[in-house]
Amino acid sequence: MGSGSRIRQYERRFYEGERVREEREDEIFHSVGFFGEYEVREAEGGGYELIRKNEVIGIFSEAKVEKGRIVFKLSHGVNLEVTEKGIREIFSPERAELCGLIAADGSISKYQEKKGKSTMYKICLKTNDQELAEVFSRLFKETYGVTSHRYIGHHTAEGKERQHYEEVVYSKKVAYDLWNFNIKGPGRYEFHPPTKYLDEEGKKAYIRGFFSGDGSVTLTPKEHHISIHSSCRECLEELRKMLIDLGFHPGEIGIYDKEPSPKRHSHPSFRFYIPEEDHLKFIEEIGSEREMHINKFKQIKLIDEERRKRRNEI
Amino acid sequence: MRKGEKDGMKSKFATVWEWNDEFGDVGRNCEKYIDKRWNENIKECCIDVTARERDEDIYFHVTYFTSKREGIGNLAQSMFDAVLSAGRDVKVYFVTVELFNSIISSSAIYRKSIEDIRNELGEFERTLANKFSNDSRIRAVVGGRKVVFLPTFVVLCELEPLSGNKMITEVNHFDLEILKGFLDLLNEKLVKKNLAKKVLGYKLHLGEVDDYEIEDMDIHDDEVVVRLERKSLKVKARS
Repeated sequence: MGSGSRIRQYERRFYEGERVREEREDEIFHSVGFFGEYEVREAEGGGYELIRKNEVIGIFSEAKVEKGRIVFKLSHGVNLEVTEKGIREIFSPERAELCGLIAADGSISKYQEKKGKSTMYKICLKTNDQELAEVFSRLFKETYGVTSHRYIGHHTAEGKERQHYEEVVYSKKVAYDLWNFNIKGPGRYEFHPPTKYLDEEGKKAYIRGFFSGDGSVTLTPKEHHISIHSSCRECLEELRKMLIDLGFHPGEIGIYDKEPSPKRHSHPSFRFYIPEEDHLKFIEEIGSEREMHINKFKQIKLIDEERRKRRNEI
Repeated sequence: MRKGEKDGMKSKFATVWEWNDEFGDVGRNCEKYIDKRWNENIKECCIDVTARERDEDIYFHVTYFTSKREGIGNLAQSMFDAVLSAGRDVKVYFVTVELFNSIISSSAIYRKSIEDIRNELGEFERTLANKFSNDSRIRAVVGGRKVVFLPTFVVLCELEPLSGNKMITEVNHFDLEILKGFLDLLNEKLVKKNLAKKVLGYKLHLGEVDDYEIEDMDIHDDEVVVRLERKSLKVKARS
């Protein structure tokens, strides 16, 4: 990982095992399985090798064997997935969720404190919610092995002194790693889900991260709804498409804008709803990191299960 | 600071704050822009805060119009602080400043009572009921239950500003009681921050009846709640 090209990073992660192979010639291997043109073998002493056309192209210490695929752990929350179709890099669920969280409430920026001073690279999450700050910190640690700094600010809300949090990592390497995947920016609210690098679990984790930041669960005596918001329409469309890929039926994207008179410049905002038929699926498969959402999910689950029963009776 | 000046138009515009900027930078950023762009032709300045209360899913604006150059930075910071304090989980998306060569706020007069708004909305909901009660999706689930229609709408509120020309709050929701509860709290914060003296009145902003379509339905024991959204405010997904 670093500020260089993604091809270099890939090469470093992937073709890194041949010398080790020579040192392990006496090791006994047995085949784990064939995935298209690839064979995976496990060493008795631990570790796996990936073989294509009788050539070892990688040695890995950890692997997760699943139906139809094997996943090797690379570095910084990136895994290598081997299936019948071939190989591809995918994000771990932790990295995917971190990216979703940054897409909603975070930022990646570079700046100079003063003219002539060195350039700083900052990955930051601003939130009113301590638990979300902690989630960001945990995911960062798991993905990059880096501990974030926490800055606490104060404001008043509902007549009480409240805290807001800025969870920050200063790292050029991490900033470039995230920029390389187009996670956030250049516009302040612009994001792009890294769909190419997400398997089903990764997609769900990414949406959970985003929803924890920019999602809403509303529960009133009259109705309840689940919605996702953004100030970037194209980006929200990409997120909506990801939900469709996962078998959800999100509503169309709607616009919030200010009253047109008197005529002023405006920044519209966009949102879509998760329809009632998908509420239980959303709660079970996506969920949220926020206590406030989780509590409402529990109530919605009870209400919707009742209603589903009633609807089946009609 | 992101500038959005429109050449040839009679306004100058800039976004002076976005989420992830420092909470305390609103006033300073605003002053920087005003210092640069204010001239003798400027007749009115409009400061706008766009935010969402994420707990109740309420999208709202607070807008202040003033012709006085002095103290605009402090004003913008106080508006931001008041907005942030109006709910448990408020996310401010934008603070913008727009400068005009004429007074544009004089047309914004909202003086109805909340009772007027309640009656107007009730009448509109009855009109919507006539339009939608025969909808096949509703008939399929109604089974003798009462049908309640909840269209999304906007309530605008005019406040008497302490020193400026006009102050407006604008809240978007589909449940008047929730909207009113939030609007009262927001207005109270603005009064407490010495930005406004009192509420002068309200205006209900609705779409045309034919513009509404069914977004979702909630089936209760004794009623079916139908949430209606405006078609013209939908964007078609790109293929």
